[in-house]
Amino acid sequence: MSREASKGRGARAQRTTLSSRWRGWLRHHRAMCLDSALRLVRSPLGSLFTMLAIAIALVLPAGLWLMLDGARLLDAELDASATATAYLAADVDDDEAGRIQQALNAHPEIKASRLITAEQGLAEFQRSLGLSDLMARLPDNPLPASIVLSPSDPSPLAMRALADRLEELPGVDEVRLDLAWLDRLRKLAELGRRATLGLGVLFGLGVLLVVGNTIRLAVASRRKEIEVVTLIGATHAFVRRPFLYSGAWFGLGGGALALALLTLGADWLAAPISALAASYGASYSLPRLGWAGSAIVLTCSTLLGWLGAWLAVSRHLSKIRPR
Amino acid sequence: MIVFEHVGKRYGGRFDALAALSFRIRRGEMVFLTGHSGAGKSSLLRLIIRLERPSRGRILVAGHDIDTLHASQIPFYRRQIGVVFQDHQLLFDRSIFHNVALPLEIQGMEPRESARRVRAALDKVGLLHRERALPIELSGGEQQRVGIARAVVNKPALLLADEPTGNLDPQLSADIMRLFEDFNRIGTTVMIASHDLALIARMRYRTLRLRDGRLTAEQEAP
Repeated sequence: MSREASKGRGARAQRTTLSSRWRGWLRHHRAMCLDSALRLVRSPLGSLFTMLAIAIALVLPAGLWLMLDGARLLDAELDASATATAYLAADVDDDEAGRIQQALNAHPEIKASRLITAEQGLAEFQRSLGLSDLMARLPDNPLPASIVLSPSDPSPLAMRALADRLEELPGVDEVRLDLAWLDRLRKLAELGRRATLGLGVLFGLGVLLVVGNTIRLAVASRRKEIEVVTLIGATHAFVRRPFLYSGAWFGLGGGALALALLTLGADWLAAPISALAASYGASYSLPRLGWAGSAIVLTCSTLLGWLGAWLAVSRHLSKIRPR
Repeated sequence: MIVFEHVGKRYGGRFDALAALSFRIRRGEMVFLTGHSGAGKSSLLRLIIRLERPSRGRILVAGHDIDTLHASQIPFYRRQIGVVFQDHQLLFDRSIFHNVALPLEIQGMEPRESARRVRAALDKVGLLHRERALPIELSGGEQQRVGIARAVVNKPALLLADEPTGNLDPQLSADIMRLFEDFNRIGTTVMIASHDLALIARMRYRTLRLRDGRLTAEQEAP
């Protein structure tokens, strides 16, 4: 080849590179996206099993997440119902009790209050115990008047401080907080959140392994092809591309199956859950994922599939570097 | 085009496949590389396409020390070299056309231009009528010609061939050598590794002779 000819060719090659490289890249992406989807369809049973494995790995953390989401709503409801009860001294009569209530209402920490006079208290007590003739048997009403308070800050610490201060007030005998079970519930919810996060990470790793293993087999079955295209100048990105698309398809399919399983499971559990909640006097129902939640699940599963494939192919490519 | 300076390649810390190899191949030259099997012919070709790196010495191709190439540059370097492999390295799950189109596909060439070049290359090796066939349907000689078409479809400045006439009869071998001469005539630098001494003698080109990894004789073209 003469020097001039070689120069001419170089310049031409340069021009085609600049103008068509981007289009060539897009074309290959399109082709590989389609090609990897076709490969999945051509072995439907194997693809389905891989996707099912991914779906099962995703359903558990996603389901727990949903339940906690429901619990958070419940938590807010509980906060609203957090109350303190101030029991007034036995010698405080109804008029004085009314005055104390007004004084309490003046506190900014108190959102609302409800006075239960000694008579009302006894009546309520009788009703809840089903003892209609209690009054007749007792010589005197043993119950004090009480004021049920809703604090504006329902956090346990603030409520405890409030209770301590209210007990100093004249006419107030004792302030009771029913915090213990609320506290326990909060701790349980926190435990649930951490467990979900931990399980999510573990099962995410599970998805990586499932996809990685499937792609590893695909790589092994196309080893010859990888070898040949590498010999004639394929970049690692070019070699990886079809496998990355396969991984992403597996992830997307697995995510879609997981959504289907979640919907079925939620339908199946809905009736017993609301019945259980009703027996506690609460209205709790499993929240649905909705569009945003579904999009998050699908995005995560697709990314996990892609990443699993990337790891599997990269491991293979690192083994065929020139020595 | 190719310069070897005291190149050595040692495998496993003991066995010297190539030792103190120095030679120079000019642009546009056609050169034979010969020697008994195991003399290091394939190792030498593998060094040039940077499938392996030399243990010692320096290899310059088109003026560049190829040992300094970064891993990410190697694919682009290999695209400038057409290689005809001893075992063809064809993909058996795709047609002759797609096998030949592979280097262009890797470069992202536009399909219409790519098809034009593939057909030109297949026409050159006389296999245009078999473009839809699968490699398995072709004879050994035909598969070898597909490998040649794939090596030249990219119009490389350098063409390497490893035993391109391996198991072919003399008539087919001569046909294939004529193909290489044709490419050389239009300016391609050609290097052919072969142990077919009779054929090489008939061809009358410069010959590098390897024995146990050393250059024993350099015979100029008569």
